[in-house]
Amino acid sequence: MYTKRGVMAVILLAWGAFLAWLAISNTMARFLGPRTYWVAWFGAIALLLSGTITTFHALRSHGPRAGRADWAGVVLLLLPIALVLSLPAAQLGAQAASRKAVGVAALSAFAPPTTHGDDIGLEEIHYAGISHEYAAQVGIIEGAEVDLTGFVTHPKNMTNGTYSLTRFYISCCAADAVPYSVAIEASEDLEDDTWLNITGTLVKSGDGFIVQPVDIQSIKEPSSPYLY
Amino acid sequence: MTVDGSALRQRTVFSPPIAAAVLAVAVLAARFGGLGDIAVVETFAVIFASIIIEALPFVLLGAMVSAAIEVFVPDKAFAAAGRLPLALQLPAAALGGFAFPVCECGSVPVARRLISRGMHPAAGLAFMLASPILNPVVLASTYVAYSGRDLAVQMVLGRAGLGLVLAMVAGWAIGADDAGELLRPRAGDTHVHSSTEPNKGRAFFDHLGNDFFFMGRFVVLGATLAALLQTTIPQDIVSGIARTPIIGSLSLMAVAFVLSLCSEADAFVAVSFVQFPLGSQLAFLVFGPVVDAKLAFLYGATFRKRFVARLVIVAVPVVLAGSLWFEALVGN
Repeated sequence: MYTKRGVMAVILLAWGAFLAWLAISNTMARFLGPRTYWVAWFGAIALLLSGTITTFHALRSHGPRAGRADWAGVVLLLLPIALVLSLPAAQLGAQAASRKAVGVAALSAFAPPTTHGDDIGLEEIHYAGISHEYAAQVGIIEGAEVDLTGFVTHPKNMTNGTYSLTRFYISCCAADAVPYSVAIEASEDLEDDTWLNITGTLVKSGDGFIVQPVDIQSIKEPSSPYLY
Repeated sequence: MTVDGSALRQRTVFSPPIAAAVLAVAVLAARFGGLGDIAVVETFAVIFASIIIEALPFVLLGAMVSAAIEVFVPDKAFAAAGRLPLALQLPAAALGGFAFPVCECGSVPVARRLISRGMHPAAGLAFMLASPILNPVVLASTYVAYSGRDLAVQMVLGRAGLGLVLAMVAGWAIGADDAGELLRPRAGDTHVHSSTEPNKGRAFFDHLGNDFFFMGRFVVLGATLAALLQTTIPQDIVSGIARTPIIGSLSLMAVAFVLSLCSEADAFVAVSFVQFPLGSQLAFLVFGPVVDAKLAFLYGATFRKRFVARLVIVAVPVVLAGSLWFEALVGN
């Protein structure tokens, strides 16, 4: 009754439909960076196509029956889809930041990565804390005005400030996410993962900078939770 | 009276409609029971799903190429290639990776097919290990990631050079003379085979589906391990010991194993390890595409016992030596 071809067709179609849904609803923004969106589109189209043809072959011809290993494969391959559907709002937050944080160590000889734009962002502030030349080059000085969006974290090694404002930068997928943070000198502490928009000024603190906020707005999570 | 034992066993062990219903109920229960409020679960799910979402389309691409090789390339082409001396097959196969823009998840099924169709196992391995490093998309992304640090050319040359050397050395050291000694036999091969399937189109899609379905489950297992490690181990534990090139390289190789990144993305992560010597970043970029948590499962399913262990034993010293040499040449 259940042939191996039929089982394969179900898996191809299920993953094709899942990737198509991720791409069309833009849910893929929680898992992939814009650089790899094409992967999901390609996968959706190619899987739906192969799945349709395999279904056709399964219905028109006889073949071997699905064995135990095949059913184990079906369950394994459906698990990720089930998990994503179970967690409609899952994204990397404060817990992930506590695991993925890269240590900050001041270096004398250091060439930082490219900047993302003209505005001062969390990544630029992070690297400014490592290299003074870089800070001067991108105009990160005491008193510079900043407008930052991120979520609240409380890093273990935070020495000053009330909490940190953090954002993940991803290049291809969430597995390569790197969190960048800046300490905020606020009057009231907030819970982890609260999304905020903070305007304020940079103040020197130790090797790096912290933010003296002028205005703290609680905001809805942005449609694209990561920066690229 | 005879009873069809296998059919009976299947009926009693597994009922697809019931299993589907159980899965659907579990999804609904998790969704409304607040599973997503547990931060660790959320982190695991995002990393786990993102690795699989990015890897499966590449597995499919690899399965397409592999199926095309099986169905459309005549036997005598492989027989001719297989007669070439190994000294020629090995570098040619490694350089062949440059023409094949698929990263590690796609190259495993292709290499398996090449070896099973008569290419020398050493050459097939060299191709498999070289293609995720030498492919043009990967080298281009390495160039982009390091161009901000004015090290793009050095890093691309270093990565391509060390990757090529590692692929040939590992292929030569691990590749047995006989394909049967290297490849793990797979049940699906005897079920649906081109020799019993006269229709080429149907044979192509059978092989495509088989490879995707078979490799896909090991991507899921590998992503589970990678996401578990990423969710539990804080990455900054290696930062403190980054200073010396040897320890730095060894720790970044360990990080590459844990992260299991696609080789098209890893340069952007490597460049963020600013506190590590450049040679150690190169070690990360060459070791990761060859051995990582996700690949360990793919290799385990494709090759015979101890393949992963033997690969690690060859890869660690080669990458370490290469990274130290690179550090001495261009490090500051």
